[in-house]
Amino acid sequence: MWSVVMAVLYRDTRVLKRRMYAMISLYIIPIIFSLAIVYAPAAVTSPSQVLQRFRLLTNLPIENLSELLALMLYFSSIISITAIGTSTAYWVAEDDVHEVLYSVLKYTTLSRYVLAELAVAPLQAVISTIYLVPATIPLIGVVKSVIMYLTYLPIAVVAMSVLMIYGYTIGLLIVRLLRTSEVWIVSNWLLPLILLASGIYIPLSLIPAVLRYFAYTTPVPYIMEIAKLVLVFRSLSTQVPIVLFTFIATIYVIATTYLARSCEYVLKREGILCLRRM
Amino acid sequence: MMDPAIVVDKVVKRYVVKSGVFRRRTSVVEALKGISFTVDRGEVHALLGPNGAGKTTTVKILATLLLPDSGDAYILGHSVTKEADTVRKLVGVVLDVSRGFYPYLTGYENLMFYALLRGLSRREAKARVREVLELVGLRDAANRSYLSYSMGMRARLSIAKVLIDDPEVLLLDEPTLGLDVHSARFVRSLILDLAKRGKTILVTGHNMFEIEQIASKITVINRGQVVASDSPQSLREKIGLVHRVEINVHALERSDVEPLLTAISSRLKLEKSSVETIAENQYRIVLYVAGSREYISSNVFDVLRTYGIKVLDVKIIEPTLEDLYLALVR
Ligand SMILES: Nc1ncnc2c1ncn2[C@@H]1O[C@H](COP(=O)(O)OP(=O)(O)OP(=O)(O)O)[C@@H](O)[C@H]1O
Ligand SMILES: [Mg+2]
Repeated sequence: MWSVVMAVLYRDTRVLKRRMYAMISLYIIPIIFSLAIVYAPAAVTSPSQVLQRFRLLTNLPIENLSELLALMLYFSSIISITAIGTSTAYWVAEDDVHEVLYSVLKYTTLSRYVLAELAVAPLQAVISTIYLVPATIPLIGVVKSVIMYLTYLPIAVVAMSVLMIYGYTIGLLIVRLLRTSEVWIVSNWLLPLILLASGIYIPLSLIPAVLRYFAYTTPVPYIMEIAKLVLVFRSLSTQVPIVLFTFIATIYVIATTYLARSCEYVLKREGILCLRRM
Repeated sequence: MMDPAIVVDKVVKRYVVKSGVFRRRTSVVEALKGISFTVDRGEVHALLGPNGAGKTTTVKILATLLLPDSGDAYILGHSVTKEADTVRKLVGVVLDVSRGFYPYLTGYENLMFYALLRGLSRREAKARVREVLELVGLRDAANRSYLSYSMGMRARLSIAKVLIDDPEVLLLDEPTLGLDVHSARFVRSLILDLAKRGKTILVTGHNMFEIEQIASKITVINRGQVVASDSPQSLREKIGLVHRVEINVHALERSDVEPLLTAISSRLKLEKSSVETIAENQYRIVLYVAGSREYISSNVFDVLRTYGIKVLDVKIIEPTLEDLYLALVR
């Protein structure tokens, strides 16, 4: 297993190095979106009103708008993590499975290969959130920015890992059921639905029940909840989201392993995994 | 006597093809109908057959990438179905020379990925990758992206990938497909080189000239069944393809040659014969004979000895592998 991790890390760092520009543009887009969301209430009403409301609602000792904005930036970074994490759903359809799977299967199984991909989660997490440091320096100063980021980083890494696993599960499920490599047909629906029902934009209680239940099958609402506890209340005053999150994560690890095995079996039985274009 | 390197034992493979998302239709392709053959250690063994005969299917089963429906195959005594993990360590397989690589990574990086995957440490991997790149003559192109490689370079890289493991048994599915004369020759000499070092090689292909130069044994399959499996020489004898025999003699007159031809035809069963004049006082007797080389040569020389005629040259021309192949898969 260790060798698979090493190989995957080597490959991904090489690919990342080469595709830096593409990656940056991929990561920047969600950030721009998220900035718009952060400033929207202040733009519609007025900055002081937003701050007032926020204090009233949360009963939190937030002194100024800058601090509030920093916080909001952090919450919206969950959007980037979700976008990038779940994009692993496409991986199954990429060059990878088509071009190199046979060669890879000489050394390992598909399920190990998929799980090894998680080795890059910390790297992905840093790349997709590091902008938070320079973005919050003008708001809360260097020291606070760095401390806040370091507090948040473990959450980001865990969130990225679980979202990646979630993405693989969905991707493998689509491949296994539909036997198509065009995973995007289904997985493109995923991100907007998750984000809509994640509690980031709209409070969960205002979301239609169907969407809400769907959201609860994804890791995002729990991540949101944990981030809230750590960043706003500075403590994990309740263990419930952590327990639920661990539960969900375990289920997805099992599901991915099972689906990967099933896909590998189909490949060895029928000679082709994806036999359809849609 | 050592075990053979590869044993294929009554392997059956049916592909079940499903089509339609909602209304499932299934059709069955019988790719292998119980094939058996063996490959000895250190041998270059060619697996031949027309398109769709089941060659790639056989190679995939031997490489544990495909499960047979029944029957089994053994690599150095290990079952491909029951000891797949062991078998994977013993074989190296080249399936489609233009697949199996990340297009945006360089040749070097692609091989590093596989070397690490195999479990080599970074240092070992670097050394090994350099070594195999050198071996296949890709050192200068090592740091160019795979995307920019020509077909020949891709084929070389595929072979380099297999060599990283230094496997005992190599399975090469059409390794020279689409290569120019020079590259194909290079790949052939590489194959012979590996065989000299004791590796067992099963190679498929369609170029008979090429196979003739490297293979010491051939198995011909057609529509999922083995048609023949033997050395090219014994296949020729078994199938009884005709040899062309040319005897150039010095004689004063054409009529001096005729009795010789009569004498030969009294001992050998000739399919056809003729006498040509090639120069003044030089004649060529051409015979078409079915039978082994020994049978032909001993009889021809016996006759030539008893006649006091001056022989300039004797040639026994073998039927080509192509003739043989065509006779088999007719
Ligand atoms: N995954 C698959 N699903 C269904 N049928 C398949 C599959 N792979 C191969 N076949 C069929 O099985 C038969 C044998 O195919 P195979 O690829 O082994 O032939 P081959 O001898 O390698 O031919 P070629 O010389 O063209 O490479 C063919 O009829 C082919 O159409
Ligand atoms: Mg083939």
